[in-house]
Amino acid sequence: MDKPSRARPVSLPLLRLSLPLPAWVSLLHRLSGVLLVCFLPPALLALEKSLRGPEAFAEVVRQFDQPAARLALLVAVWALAHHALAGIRHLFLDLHLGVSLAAARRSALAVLLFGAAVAAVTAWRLFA
Amino acid sequence: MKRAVTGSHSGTGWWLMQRFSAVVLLFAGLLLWFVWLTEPAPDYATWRALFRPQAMRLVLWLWVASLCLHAWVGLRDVLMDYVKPIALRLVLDLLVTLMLLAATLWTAAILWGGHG
Repeated sequence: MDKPSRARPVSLPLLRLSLPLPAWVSLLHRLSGVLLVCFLPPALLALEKSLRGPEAFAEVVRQFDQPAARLALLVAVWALAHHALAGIRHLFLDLHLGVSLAAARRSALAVLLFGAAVAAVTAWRLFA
Repeated sequence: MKRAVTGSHSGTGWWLMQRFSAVVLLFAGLLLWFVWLTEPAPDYATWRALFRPQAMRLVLWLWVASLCLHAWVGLRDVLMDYVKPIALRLVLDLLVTLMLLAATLWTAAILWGGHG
């Protein structure tokens, strides 16, 4: 069969991606890490503002009450939880604990479930 | 996979920095979280009082400094994986370094810069 003379377009079928669980944990570990770095400057800004004076403090509290801010906070909390849990799993793997395929898949599931649980509780606290 | 880990530039320094900062972040982070749990919805006075002890300021600053070191290693890995043109990657590496350095210094200014 002849190769087409034009390069064929590449499409990434995101909705049909099928990866093993540890791969998802790893992907999300990296994604959550990058997200957390993006959250650092606004977090420091909020800290600085909150210590400036009572009016500034009240304004920070008001700003965190906004739905968009609460959503961002939810994402940040999930990112921190998942990144820390996946990181702890990584440290255990560094010590050669839980490196068998079955154990790795179990710990990967645990990380995902705990992260989701933290997100669920946080969402309930923020939006209920 | 055989890889030479002898000689210089084997990556061990980066690996250690990432793991060590991670452990500091975990333990100091737990400590800070417990402190926050004592006053989860503070008013301004209570909030300010949390930051008065030097020990608290030091732990928080060490946490942010460790975070910046940890993020430095992590972002270096991300850039190495996704930004192949060397000049662009080095520029981004530099920007990341400056940003994290600024964050560390800014945190010191926030904690000790004359708020009392």
